[in-house]
Amino acid sequence: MTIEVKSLTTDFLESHMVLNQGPSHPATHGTIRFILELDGENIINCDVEIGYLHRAFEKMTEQVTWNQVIPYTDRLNYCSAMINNVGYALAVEKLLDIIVPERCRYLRVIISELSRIMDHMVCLGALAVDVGALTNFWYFFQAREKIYELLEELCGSRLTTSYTRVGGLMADAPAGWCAMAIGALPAIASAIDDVDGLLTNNRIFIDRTRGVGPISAEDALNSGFTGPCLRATGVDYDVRRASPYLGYDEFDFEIPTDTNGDTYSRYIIRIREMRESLKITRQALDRITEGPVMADRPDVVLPSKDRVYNEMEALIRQFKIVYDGIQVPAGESYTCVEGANGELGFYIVSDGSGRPYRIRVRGPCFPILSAIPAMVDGQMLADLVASFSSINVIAGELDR
Amino acid sequence: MAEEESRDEPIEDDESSSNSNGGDTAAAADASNVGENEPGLKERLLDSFTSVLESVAGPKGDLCLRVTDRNCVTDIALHLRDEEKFNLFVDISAVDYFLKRKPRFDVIYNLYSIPNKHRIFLKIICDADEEGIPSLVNVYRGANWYEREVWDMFGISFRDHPNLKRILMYESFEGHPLRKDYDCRHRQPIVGPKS
Repeated sequence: MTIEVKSLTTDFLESHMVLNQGPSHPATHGTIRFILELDGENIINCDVEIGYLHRAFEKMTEQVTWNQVIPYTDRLNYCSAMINNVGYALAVEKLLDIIVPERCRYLRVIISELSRIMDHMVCLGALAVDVGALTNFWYFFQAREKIYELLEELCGSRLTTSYTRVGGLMADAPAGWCAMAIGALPAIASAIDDVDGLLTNNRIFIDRTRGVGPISAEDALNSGFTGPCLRATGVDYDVRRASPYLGYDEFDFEIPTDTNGDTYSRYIIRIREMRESLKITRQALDRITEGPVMADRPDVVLPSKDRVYNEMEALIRQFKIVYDGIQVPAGESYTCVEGANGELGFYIVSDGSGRPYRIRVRGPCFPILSAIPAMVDGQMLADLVASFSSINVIAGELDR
Repeated sequence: MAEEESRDEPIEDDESSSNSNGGDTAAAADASNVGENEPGLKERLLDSFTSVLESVAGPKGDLCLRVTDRNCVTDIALHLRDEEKFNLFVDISAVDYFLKRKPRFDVIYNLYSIPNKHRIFLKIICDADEEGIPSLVNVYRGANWYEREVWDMFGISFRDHPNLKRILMYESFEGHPLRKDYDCRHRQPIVGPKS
């Protein structure tokens, strides 16, 4: 093999440099690889390579029973695992025609909104770090810890929650949990205020994010954007409002939009959305009442333990549900929820057996990342880092 | 495999019944997640594309049409985008009905109209052949990666796609993992950086 030696003096200013960034790099949160063609510091061409975190989610779900899929859904968007749990449970419940009890519905709303706040905190904290501001990260992570404590009280784990079940929830909230949640809200609100105060009118931050990674509303729709990134371009599409699930239409909240479609817009949308999520959480905590958390469906829901130990029929039912799985009627359904990054859809095909025939996950990150090359075209290398942070790609959901 | 062969019925259902429409709308009213069905949309579409569109059973409570001539899919998508305001491109995926039906694959397009709050699914029933399905990249940019994913996972090719290569798996991977005849325990050699 011959190595071509180039003289440093000949036209090195005219030639383009190819730079590899990732898959393991501090600025590519998760494992994503960018191959960049640079002219000086400007990006001429950008190619994205994904798949480094592919765990065959869709293949694995075909091997297990319906309820055993729930732990897999934790690992999709691991910053807001609860929303995945809720979305999947809703999808299967649609095929089974289950309507969950009120208490379960409110608890699902509360955990979804708290997860959304956490997810936005991670995104904005990391965005600020990537443009050089570390303090916000700690402010947010302190508040995020409060939410993690709440989730830990609910289901015993912090990251991989697996809290929902088809037909309800793993367990009711422990006594005093709602009061604990109400007590935690002011600290979360003040963390949002702190970061808002530090960044929103910050000259350096604005200079670093205004006009960075812009996309027009038309291109965003055409590319399949949803969630905060789409609302940053001025389109007020939110699944919670467009096709309300879990009774979201009864809550009073706004869908914030902005018109610039750049990194700053995406930042400001997320800040406002966290406040709206707090509003919804407060309303849900006000309205929640005591009651069952599992639907009254003996064919889906496990019988209580004391009945399993004392009644033959309950023992048989427990055995059937665990070993054969829930018998979901044959058919297809598509259910989407508003994930932290956009529309999280589950396309489910059942053949009437105890295991899913096919589960398709439509995660919001995948189409958004596919538009990154167009968004950073002609911009500086450092702008790619900021743009990429602001779209909040979670590799677990991207690669499945 | 034997288990799969025996589960024949639901698929037969899909093909033969020309969609029990009354049942569908009733389900739509109940289900929490369904937007209001736009009146007349289905009839309008079936009128405009008489010979190439037909109704088919799809996701519960949603409008689903089958594209019988796959060469028309770009025209239909263009019509949906420009005339019917299906401006948000949501998803392309596929389902494999290996040993249950021929042709074996369902390719499913998912489009959403933000002004009308309405969702539509288009289905193409096909085999993985040389000819491929026309790519939608020129209609919806978002189709680019989704078509690559369907190719990667199912081996269904797309005609005129600018860059149809694997996206989640690596280049030297053999086979298409989401096909039902790909055993989930099958292992392939570990690949590393070329030395």
